[in-house]
Amino acid sequence: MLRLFIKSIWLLVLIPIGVIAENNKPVPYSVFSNKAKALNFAEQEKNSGNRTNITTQIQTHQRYVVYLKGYAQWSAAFKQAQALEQMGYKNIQVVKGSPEKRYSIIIAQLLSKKKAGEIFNKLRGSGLKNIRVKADTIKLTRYIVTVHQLPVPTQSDSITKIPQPLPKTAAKSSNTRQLPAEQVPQTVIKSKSEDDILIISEEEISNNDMIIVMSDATDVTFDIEIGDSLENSNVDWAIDKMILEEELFSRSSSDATNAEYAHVSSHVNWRISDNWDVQLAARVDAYKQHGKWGTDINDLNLDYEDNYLRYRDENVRLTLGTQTIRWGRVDIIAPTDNMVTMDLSRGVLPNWDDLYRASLAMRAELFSGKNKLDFVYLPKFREAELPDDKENVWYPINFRKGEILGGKITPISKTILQNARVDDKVDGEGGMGLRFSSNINAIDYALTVQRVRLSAPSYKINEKFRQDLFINPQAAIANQYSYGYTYSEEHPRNWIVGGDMAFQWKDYTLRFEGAWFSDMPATTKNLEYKKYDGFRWASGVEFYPGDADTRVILQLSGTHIDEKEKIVDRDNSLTLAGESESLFYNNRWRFNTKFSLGLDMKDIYVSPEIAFLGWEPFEIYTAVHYFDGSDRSMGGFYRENSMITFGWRGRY
Amino acid sequence: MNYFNKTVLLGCLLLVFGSLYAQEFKDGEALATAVYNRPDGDNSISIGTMVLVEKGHKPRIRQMYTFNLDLGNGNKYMMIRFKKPADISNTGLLTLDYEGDKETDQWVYLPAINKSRRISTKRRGGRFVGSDILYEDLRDRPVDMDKHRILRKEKLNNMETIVLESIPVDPENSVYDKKILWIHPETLLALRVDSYQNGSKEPVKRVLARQIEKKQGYWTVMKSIVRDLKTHHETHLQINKIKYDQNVPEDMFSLKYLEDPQREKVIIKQLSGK
Repeated sequence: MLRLFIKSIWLLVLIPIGVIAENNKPVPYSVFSNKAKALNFAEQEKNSGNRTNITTQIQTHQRYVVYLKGYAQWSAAFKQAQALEQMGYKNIQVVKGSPEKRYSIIIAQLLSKKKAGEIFNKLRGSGLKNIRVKADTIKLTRYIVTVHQLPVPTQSDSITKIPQPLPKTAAKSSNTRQLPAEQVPQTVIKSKSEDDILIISEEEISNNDMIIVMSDATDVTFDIEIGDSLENSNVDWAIDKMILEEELFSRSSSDATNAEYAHVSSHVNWRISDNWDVQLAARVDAYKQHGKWGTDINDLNLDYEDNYLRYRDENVRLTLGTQTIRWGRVDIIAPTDNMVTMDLSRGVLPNWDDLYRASLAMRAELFSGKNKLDFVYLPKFREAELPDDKENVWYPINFRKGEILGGKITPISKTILQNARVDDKVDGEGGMGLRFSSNINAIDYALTVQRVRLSAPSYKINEKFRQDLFINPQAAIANQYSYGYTYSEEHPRNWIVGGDMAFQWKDYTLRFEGAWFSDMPATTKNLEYKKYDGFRWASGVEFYPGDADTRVILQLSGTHIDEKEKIVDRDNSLTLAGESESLFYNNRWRFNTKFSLGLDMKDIYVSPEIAFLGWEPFEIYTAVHYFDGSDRSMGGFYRENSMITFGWRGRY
Repeated sequence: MNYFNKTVLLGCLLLVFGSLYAQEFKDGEALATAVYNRPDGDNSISIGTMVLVEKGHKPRIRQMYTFNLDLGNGNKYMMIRFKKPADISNTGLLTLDYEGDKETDQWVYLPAINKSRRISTKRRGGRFVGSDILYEDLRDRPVDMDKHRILRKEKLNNMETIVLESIPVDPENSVYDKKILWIHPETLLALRVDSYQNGSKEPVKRVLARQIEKKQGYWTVMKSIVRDLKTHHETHLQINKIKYDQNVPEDMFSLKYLEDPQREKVIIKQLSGK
């Protein structure tokens, strides 16, 4: 309808030869946007013996300006303007506009949003990227020449300003006042124009903002200030996370009865200029474990988080410093997410997203339209964060029981592990990676190549000790300490080639990811440490059951090691993991469950949690962490760590 | 954008309303079309406050920037950046609506993992950041998705309104059975909207415009209330500042900006006229 109004206006503005009713007789009138033409027309009518009357009217309209922006040089803009003229565009103007202080090319000024859109699409179809459509408000002066076919009067024609709009059909989309009813003319359009391009001078819009306040608006929660820190500050700081937690181990066979955990992390970011910013961030973790065997543990750790200097411009972002770089697409464990350091200091107790730490990196992100090229170099390798104390229940080797996470338990291995010393010194560079990401036809995708060390540890047995084990096991085990370290922590450097994608299907968001690894670690039956090709994959789905306030993520993932001989590690694994989150009682409560279930082996981790969210930004929660499974599974290894937790967490 | 949403609900998030001359409407569809097509600027930047109010509980406050760009022909981009409370600070929501049948793109940026994730645009019924606004209320809803009819003229807050009934053509594509809107014909804003669900005879939700201002020539709902009539939970929406037709680049509605909140600070300066 609006478009019809605008069209009607145009029919009246440019060529309109109309007929208005006066004394029940149709009286012709014409409307001009040009004063000289109006006077010329009136003169012609006068010479034909008719009396004419000219009135003016100012109307406010929405105007759509189609233009190309961003030419630094006038010559480049002029050249482009010439090309556009050859394409058939008329009345092209090159202007220098603020605030950009660059040259723009005005292609068309229209009253029709639709036509502006059509020109926009046509230009875009010709390959131009810098097209813009700007809407503004303009005031147009109309010159209405009314022709009275009466005897020629003696007085001369004059221009009289009247507060009258055009005939009613034209006035619908204007801001002019209504004519008195007796003056409202009927309109008959005799000709029409398809041309609605305007080239006019623009008038400043007066600032006549108005307010309507409803009579019963007495609500006290309005008029909340936004605060300077939100709008103007160049310094952001926050306490990113605070946690206080009590953990009660539920199994009588556990190595510990209970534990306390406290955490605080904070950052401050200073925006030096539009292009530069610098950030400092750190975390403190305190842990006290009450052991059953008189082995209490007290750990206090200060660690860095994301501390960096960053430069950005339109197409580049460069970051130097410690960073938590997350690649990959799937939600829980992403096969291509290898530029980051894993945090295994509390096992899998934290949220899935909190299982990572920062490491020193140089990162360059290049942007071009929807495309992004991300290059990361890790000059210093940082291995996965493990508990400092090897008696910690989350350490991946249980020395008391002689078990290692993921390893097969035999009487000999138990004995060796119970007396093992582990060399966990790791140094060297981390490696580098390249990731290209984009989206097309509503599909997000990425491809990556990495030459990087895996942050999760694997353990290599002392070679001399291993050989002696097969010659004289009793003697080797009896003299185990004489070999120095029994195991060394390894982080094999891998070539990794992978990709990921995400798209929407019906009510579901689907995510897929896979990566080939050149050197996945494994221990053979004769305890030899070897590396094989391997593949990791994951497919995930996210949905909202009942289209309400519950979100569910499910992820099926697998690992395959292409071993050439029998190994003690799992050569194939298939896992279903996920998380559901429900908000209820006006989002004051949240019920959350995360889980991981082995499909090829009994491997269970389930953790329901209920949290009260009413005291924002703080939460009070209680959770259960339940582990169970076969010996070589994570659930089996941490079986004795099943626990109930109570805690408080927040941000500020 | 849904004429209903555009009129009131998203007022806080940035919705803008142009003024048209008061006019007669031949039928409900004409009125709904006029509301839907109301001039609302080429782009806009705003900062808004959302207060969740529940009797006996401390109000919960959310504050956010909203950036809009209308390229015409149904190509409408929007980005919301939350600033408060702290647990969702810098979380971003990017929505790209396209012309024709092309599916909407939507991503959420989670600062905790410093990654953006594509999310389903089919979600309608969930509550947006715990408010009384449902995800459907944030979506573009073309006029022809509902049947419209004018019920009557009625005075509301001493203002003449036209009462419009809108019922989904396909009940499957809306969580609402119907809406009744009190349209103020001179500003083409809904001063009140009652929503019905699950066959209810009484409305389950009511939206009330509280303060309307003409900003740079566009009528804008500056304050409004969304009220759950069952639980009496309320969401108070307020635009603290808004600027239309600023220098908002199309490039801003990209993952590059969504994943880097520092980038938009240059744009935000325009709110203060800096």
